[in-house]
Amino acid sequence: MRPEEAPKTYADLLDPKWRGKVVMPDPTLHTTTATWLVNLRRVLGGQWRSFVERLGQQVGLVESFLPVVQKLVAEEYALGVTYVKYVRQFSEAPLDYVRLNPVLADAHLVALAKNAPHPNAGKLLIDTLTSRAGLIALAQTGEFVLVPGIYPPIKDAEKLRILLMEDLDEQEFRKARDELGPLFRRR
Amino acid sequence: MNLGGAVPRTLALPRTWGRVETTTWIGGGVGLLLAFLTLYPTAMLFYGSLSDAPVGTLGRLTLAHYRAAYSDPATYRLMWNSFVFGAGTAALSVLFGLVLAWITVRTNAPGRTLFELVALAPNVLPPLLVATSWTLVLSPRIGLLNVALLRPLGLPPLNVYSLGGMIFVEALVTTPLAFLIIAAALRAMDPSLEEAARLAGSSAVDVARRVTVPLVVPAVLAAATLNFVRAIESFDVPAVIALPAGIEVFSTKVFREALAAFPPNHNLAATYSVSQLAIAVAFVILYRRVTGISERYATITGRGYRPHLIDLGPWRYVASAVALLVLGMLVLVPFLVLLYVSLIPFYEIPSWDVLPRLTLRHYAFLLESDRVARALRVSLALALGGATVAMLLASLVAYFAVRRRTALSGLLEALSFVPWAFPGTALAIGLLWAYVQIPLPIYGTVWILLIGYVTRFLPYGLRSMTATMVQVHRELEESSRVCGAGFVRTFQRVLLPLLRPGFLAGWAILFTIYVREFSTSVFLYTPRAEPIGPLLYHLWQDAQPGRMAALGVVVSALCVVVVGLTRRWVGQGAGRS
Repeated sequence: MRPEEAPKTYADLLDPKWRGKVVMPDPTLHTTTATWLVNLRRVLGGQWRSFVERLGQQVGLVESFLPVVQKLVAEEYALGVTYVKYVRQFSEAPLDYVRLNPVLADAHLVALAKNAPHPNAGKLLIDTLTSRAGLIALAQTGEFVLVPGIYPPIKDAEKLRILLMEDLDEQEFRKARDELGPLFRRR
Repeated sequence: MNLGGAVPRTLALPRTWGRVETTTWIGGGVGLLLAFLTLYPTAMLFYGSLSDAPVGTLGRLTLAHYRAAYSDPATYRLMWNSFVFGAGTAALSVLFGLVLAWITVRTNAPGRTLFELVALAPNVLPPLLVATSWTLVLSPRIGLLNVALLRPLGLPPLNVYSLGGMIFVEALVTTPLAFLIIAAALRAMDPSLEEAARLAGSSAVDVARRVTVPLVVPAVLAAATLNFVRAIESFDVPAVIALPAGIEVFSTKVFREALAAFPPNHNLAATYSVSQLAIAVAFVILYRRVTGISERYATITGRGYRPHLIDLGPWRYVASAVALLVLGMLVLVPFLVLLYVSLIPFYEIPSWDVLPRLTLRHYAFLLESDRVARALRVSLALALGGATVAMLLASLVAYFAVRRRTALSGLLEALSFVPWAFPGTALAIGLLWAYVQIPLPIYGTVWILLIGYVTRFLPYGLRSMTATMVQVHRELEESSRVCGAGFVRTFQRVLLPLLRPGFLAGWAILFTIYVREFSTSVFLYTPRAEPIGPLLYHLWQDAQPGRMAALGVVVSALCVVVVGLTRRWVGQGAGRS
């Protein structure tokens, strides 16, 4: 695909020419995708409902974000809904990403389990991951981090407007699954 | 041995009693162990489907999960899909198996020794790898066959992501079993029946229609029933093809409820597993009926004979080509695709341009990766330990079930029937329910995998042990007892060495199964002890087909070596005795 052929906005994804050529995780299996679809309401407003309904007819489904990349790398699909970081992690593959405005982002959380067998080692790991050096190292792997001026080595990463998604609780997940499931899983 | 010392000892009543008790005690212990291995997860699976509390907590009994499952129209769709998948697989695999068996056993087509190798295919190429290879051949947009052959000819692409595609791949996976069953029936057939028909004036076609076919029908039915069950149970092919295609069958539904759904619902997973188990049990009973009937067609007699070969004339080359085609689809295509994918940086259609890009980096990854090293350690330990434990257990069960006809034998036979019909996914859910509450470190460790492997594949070990056990005459064992050896000593010093060929053959089969087992492991492993089967699947899922293929090639090569060595070893042992 030539870069100018690529969709520019969320709505472009619904173009009939992409029908069956878009791959994304199954929102009834994959929590982040369900969260993404629910949070899109904040971006799309009144068009959200019709967007989600039509997207459901447009896409092929896989289990999670990495299998999306697998399908893209194998050229089984032309477009995919997945993390931007894979552009960096699969830098040898012919992959690029669409500079959406805004890009919805999902926070990686780190926690210490109650009754962890080695709590101090866990605390050390947390300290390392949240330190400046740790965050810079994470950025090198393609992650967007909370250190001002530090961006992953992905083209245009510094220009993106990033909107952190709101997490869903168990009730909201069930509701999302029941509401979105029939739109995406028809067989 | 000092006979003078031994005779008074066997005459001493209390000692003899003691020995009888040892045997009974061991037999009882084997029975209890087998009952625990098979009945406990079955019971817990039922409990899980009936409990109103999530796994790991105590709840009250309820039918709510059955109501939820059977009031959902999707359940009937998945039953229909499973049925079509099973029936299609059975029909196609029996067709492949029948054609291969007939050409190999009854005709003079050249290359028949080569075709026999088809029986070994499943020990070398796991279904997971066969399935991934064929998706790369038949994927609508990138499949080799579609891009290289059908597209240039202007034909519509074949789509592996369909029920038809699943049936085709599962049929390839199950063809070797159909071949084994049907070839055995063809070999055991008395040619004088056919000769009599010829003498009585029947044409060749009539002989085939009225004598040969009816004699083979029971074997064909048995193979079809068994492969129907195997397809209903299978998770390897559905995981690779049905999940991305959005086609729901029993095993994918169980997987999605237990592992992939949020929040996971192990109660509903258990409910669907119970339904899957019920169907499998019904068809395994049907299979036993069918094979029971086949015994009425007395084709094996004491006379030595071999079925005469049919001279196909020039058609024998066509027959060889047909057999080679089936063999090629079964072994050659998957292996070559794996080899190719393991040698290129990213998947692309083969062409001369690829040559300069060929790389060994995926194999280098296998050497560097801690995850691969750990998986190899875990799976080799499970394969070596599991195969040994399973074969020892199988030897004891076979001994008490076949050799000592007591009330216990019937019970042991009934118990060893359970894993026969247990789908891998259903057993995994049962084990999950069974061991999550036990305060021993079994759940979340390799031990639950070991228990699962030994239980599920015990019938494979039993089959080779019972077959060998009936060939060893009792008098050898009795001599040992008369000379004063107890049960344990007799078993260890006399029986096991004599049973070595069966033991080794079963051990090798179990080793190759365990070293890359997938459909039970994927439910029970933890990241700390990830075996090779789940690792292969995860590499495939994680957009690393090259690494998966490289690991697949290495594991297949390892299995070839193990199967080859055992065949030589067993062959030598048989030659000596």
